[in-house]
Amino acid sequence: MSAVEVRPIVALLAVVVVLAGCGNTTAAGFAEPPASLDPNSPTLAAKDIAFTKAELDVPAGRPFILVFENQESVAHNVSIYPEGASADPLLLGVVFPGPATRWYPVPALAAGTYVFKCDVHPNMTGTLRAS
Amino acid sequence: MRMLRPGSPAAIAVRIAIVALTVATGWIHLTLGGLLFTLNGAGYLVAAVAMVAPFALVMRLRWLIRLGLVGYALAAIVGWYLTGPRYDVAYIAKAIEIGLIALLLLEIRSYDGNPLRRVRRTVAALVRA
Repeated sequence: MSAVEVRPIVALLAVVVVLAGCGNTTAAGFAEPPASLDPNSPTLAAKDIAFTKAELDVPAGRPFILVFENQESVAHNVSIYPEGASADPLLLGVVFPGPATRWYPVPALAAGTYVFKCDVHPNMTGTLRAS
Repeated sequence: MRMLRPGSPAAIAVRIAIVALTVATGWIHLTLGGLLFTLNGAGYLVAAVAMVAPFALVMRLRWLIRLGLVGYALAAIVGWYLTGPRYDVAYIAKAIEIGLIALLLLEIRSYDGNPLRRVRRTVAALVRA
């Protein structure tokens, strides 16, 4: 096994993992509802490794709070991506196990269609319409 | 890096650590839900058992189990790097997998010799049989 040096391989793997964590948008999400929470804020929930809605309508042109209720112990989040993209999320929601709720601050979105998904479970996805 | 002597306290500690790390990352994957994570977690648990099962066939193939587990953990790291979520539990799982690979490579280096030569020998023996 002289050809295989353990330390350089392990060091390389460690560097890959550290680099993987760099350069990403910081995950956002409040553990308590903000004082200025609009009672009509869009809401979404997750249960049985699925979102409870396949489509979500949100206001366009102004920031808003997305209320996300994770109803199960499995960890989920909500991220918002431009349609057809799987990188550079417009919102990177913090991942958390339930049952619990997080309040995600979403930046102003131009009118149009986006994709929301759980980054832990790529099959959990839906369409977000900003209008 | 120092070689392990079979049956020595260091070798036993390394084997226990391999099993513990394998069970730990397997358990983490099982808690994530969904078919892919469940299968991934189950695979780790099966590998953990295979690392200590005292059956002749399993013991004879332990070098292959070690290699397979290195590949399995590497695939999990690469898969996460390409598409996985970046959050605390994921980082813990990847750190565990890196530690696991390090210990497996240490065992491979100590017990199995050059893995390529070993694979070539096994394939040749299978072809002859």
